[in-house]
Amino acid sequence: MEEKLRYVGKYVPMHDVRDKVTGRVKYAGDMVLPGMLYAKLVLSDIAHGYIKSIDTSEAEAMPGVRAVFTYRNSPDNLYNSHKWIGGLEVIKDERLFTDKVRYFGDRIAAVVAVDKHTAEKAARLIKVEYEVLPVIISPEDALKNDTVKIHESGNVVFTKELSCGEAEKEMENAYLVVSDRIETPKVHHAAMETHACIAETDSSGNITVWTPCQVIFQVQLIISEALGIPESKIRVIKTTLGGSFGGKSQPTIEPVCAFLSQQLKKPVKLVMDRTEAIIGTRTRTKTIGTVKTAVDKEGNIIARDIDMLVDAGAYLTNGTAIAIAMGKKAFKLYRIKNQRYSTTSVYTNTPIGGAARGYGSPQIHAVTEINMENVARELGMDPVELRLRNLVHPYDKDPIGGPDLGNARIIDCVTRGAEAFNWKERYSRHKEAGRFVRGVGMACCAHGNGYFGAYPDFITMSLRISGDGYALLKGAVHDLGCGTNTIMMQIIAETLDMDIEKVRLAETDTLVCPFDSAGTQASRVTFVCGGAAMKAAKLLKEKIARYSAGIFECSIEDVIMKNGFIWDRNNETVKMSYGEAATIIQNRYCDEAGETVTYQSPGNPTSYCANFAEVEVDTVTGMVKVLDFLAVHDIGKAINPEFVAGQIQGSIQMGMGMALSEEITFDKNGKVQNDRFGRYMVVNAPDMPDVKVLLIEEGEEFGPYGAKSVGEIATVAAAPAIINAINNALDIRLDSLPATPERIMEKIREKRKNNDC
Amino acid sequence: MDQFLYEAPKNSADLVNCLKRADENTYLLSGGTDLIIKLRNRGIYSGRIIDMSGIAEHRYIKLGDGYVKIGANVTFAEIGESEIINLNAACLGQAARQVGSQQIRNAARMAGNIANSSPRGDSIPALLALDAKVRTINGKGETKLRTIDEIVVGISKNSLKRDEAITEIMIPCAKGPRRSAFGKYGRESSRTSVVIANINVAAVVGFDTDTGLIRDASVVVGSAAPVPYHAEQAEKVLNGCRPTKELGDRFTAALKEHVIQSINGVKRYENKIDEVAGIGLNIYHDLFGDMIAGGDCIWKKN
Repeated sequence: MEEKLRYVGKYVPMHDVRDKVTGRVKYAGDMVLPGMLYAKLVLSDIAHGYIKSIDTSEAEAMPGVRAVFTYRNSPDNLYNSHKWIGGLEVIKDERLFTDKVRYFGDRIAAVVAVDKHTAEKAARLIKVEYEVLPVIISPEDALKNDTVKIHESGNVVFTKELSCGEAEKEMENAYLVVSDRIETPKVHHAAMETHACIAETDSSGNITVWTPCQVIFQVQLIISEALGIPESKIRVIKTTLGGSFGGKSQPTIEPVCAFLSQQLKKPVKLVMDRTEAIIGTRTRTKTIGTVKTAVDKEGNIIARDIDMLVDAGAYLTNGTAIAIAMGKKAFKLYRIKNQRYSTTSVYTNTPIGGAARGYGSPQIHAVTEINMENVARELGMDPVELRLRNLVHPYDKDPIGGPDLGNARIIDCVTRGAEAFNWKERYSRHKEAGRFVRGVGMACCAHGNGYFGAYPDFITMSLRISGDGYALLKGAVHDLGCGTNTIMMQIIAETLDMDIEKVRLAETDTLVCPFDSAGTQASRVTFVCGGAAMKAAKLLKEKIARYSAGIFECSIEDVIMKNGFIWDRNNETVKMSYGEAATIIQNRYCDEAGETVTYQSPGNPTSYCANFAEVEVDTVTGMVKVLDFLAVHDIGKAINPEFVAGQIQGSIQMGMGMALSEEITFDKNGKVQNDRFGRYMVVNAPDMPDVKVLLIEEGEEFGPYGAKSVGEIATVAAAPAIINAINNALDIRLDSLPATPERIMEKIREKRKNNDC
Repeated sequence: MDQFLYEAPKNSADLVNCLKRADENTYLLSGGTDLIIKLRNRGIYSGRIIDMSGIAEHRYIKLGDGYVKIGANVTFAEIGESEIINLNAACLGQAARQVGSQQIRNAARMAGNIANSSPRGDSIPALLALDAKVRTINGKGETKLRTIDEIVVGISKNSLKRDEAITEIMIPCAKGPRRSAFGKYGRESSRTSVVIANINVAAVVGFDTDTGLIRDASVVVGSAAPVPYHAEQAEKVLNGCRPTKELGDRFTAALKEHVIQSINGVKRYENKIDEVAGIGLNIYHDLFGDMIAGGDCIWKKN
């Protein structure tokens, strides 16, 4: 940038940080409407079976209970909560309340009462009798077993292949082929705020829904499909969000809450507790990946063959979309001429897989990046060197015809990261012989910037300057707690050249905001919505300049707009504020100082990242301590570097969880064993290393001020980097995430046994 | 409408009055960190709660009559920071500092931890190893002194009567040089804090002042059986010996053997074996690390 930037590239505090840290902010769970009723869900306590009978009489008879709903008195419209835009073809297999339980946590009833305690107490009185069916927990069993059908259509839902070149043929004569089979876990998003929703119905049957969500138009669409009413009768207002990470991307309780309010003609509040959020919402999709990589003597990748088995859980949701999304990433990181990616999605009797930060990227990269390090080991080559030999270069094409990679700076990430981490020295360091052993590992990854090239990717935004000089933006950007609104404010204030304190965004609302095709997901917000905000601001600035030329009676080239004021270059004594200009434009020209733009995403470049980790493993217990961590990001341009660092540090915490401790586990009947935080182990602050962040800011052509995505990609490489470091420390090959102390000890024992032979 | 009757006695006499009327729907609240969760999980929406956290006279840690005396209304945070505790019963200070999170330690009382009698409770192995006594009071105002194992009798099961409350915990002071240490690991993960014990061990050892030999070893393993127990083999290994590196390995092996017996072949508990080995090495190092040089023991008479 030739001009000096005032807001972009600088730290600006999050727009609502003061309210958040002082506890003044109202989350959905804090909201109370007059006459509001409280709902409590009844979730199944078996994993598979038909409901033979369901006795709600005792609950209904309890004083204070207004109604109980089950499959018997609710619509049986099928829907797929993954569908975010009309016209998207999906398999519909979910309904409000089920008559057949398909996982431990399936929705079977809801009680509505005058207060929370009554609803909870009544929910305990509902008696369900099941005809219990055999359960399928493992996706591999789902592949084999077709006698137990979770849905009528069978357990295998989807298969797909993507390829370039001839992987199989090239594999045959390769110098070295390294194979791995790696399992990634089903993970809970662990947002601080659990799922919550309030719905209110007016006398005409219009429903207003307040929900912490990622896609208001998707919530509207799914409620409409589930209830069988027009979308336009539903208004969705996003509330302040206490974290989502994809967990609130697909509507879960919103259609239920809307239905309860519709039936009772009263405001209804439904808030999940932690156990319900763990078992009864969405999870990171479990996968089993097998990968074969063929290399020549020098470490050039000749061919690669990847197969991902996707465990969609009990309802398909995004079980097909994520299988494809994972595959696409495999073609964007290394230059591989011959590669085949195949995938199969299956149903299991386990909690539903869904969107989760990275949308499959953490899974596919865990599989391929652990494998890459194993290739390096077998070749006797430094893994950094192996990667540098094969990584994509800026402006490479996607070999399967996807969008161009853009200014792909992964090589810079790896070289500069290796230097900053002192990789060479640490990697070649002699291994200790005592109880505690250290090791280093690294991983690379690729992630997208929106939906361009796959799905409709556009947003309409409306920006106007008010008479008092404020810039008001209406656009469906959902701040999930990462500072999205502030990013928009920075872009607008920078582009319009005005005080950021005077930029305001409306809370995202289907009745207020123009349409947005895809919501706050797919790492599209800064790149696409930020691009839209920048375009709206540019057009608005031009419009005001045009009118100002008329007002000042000068040529448009002589109009200066700076710091909220406008003047004629040739007469600096007369200045008018943006607000004054807006008023004159309204009165003299019958126009508003506003612009509405529909912005189609111009591309979908790839963001890149490399992570470097050092760990210390206790060989007596198998416990791992992450000592040091460096995250290097090809980000184009950081609009707000502090936010970027925050995104990365939080992402590493999630990635560490996936690597070391987070996994929803089941007993043989499919009952979730760790349905609370006392048993489900997220990584907490004392165990976090000091995460160092290095940004490569080389600019991306189509991004606003050169920016591209970071929020999802930041969590992608962490798990494989940590697993690689453990493998390096112990000279083992871990094949199942998370690497719990037990799994590490098993590998240590295996190795000791082999050494003894 | 359901409701709780809430009583907050301000002194011991008030407490006795409250206890007098205790019935099967009466709950004693100490810090509430276990009780509130239990009420919620069990769907209990009514009853009588006696909140003992306002009893000022039960809020002390002091030395007297050859005991460290800890009032029932002392939090884990206070125990963990207490100089008296850390000088006279180091393992209890260590255990207190590893209970739950800082927020939990600020609210939770050790008396509640004892009464809750969870097999995973952190203070119980330390108190048992230290041979602590527990004083109770009942609705008639009668006090009684009992050992930890007389109170903690099963999985989340204590022997306290409905109208009995713990008022004081007493730890006998050392007769001669004494050291102690506590260690724990959480459930099946590398997480080091805010963990519920998957295994915990407390060890207390005395030394013969003339010879420097270990004596009166008291080693208790928790979270491996319905109630914490003395690891007698590990105690035998230590007694009469000089702390060498080799002794540490034997001590750890003995602990492992105890746990192997306790879990009785149940596969999902097998991870406790490696964990207890790790803890064994940790606490052995805590107890004797400064005495071992080049594999040999150096006894310094102070």
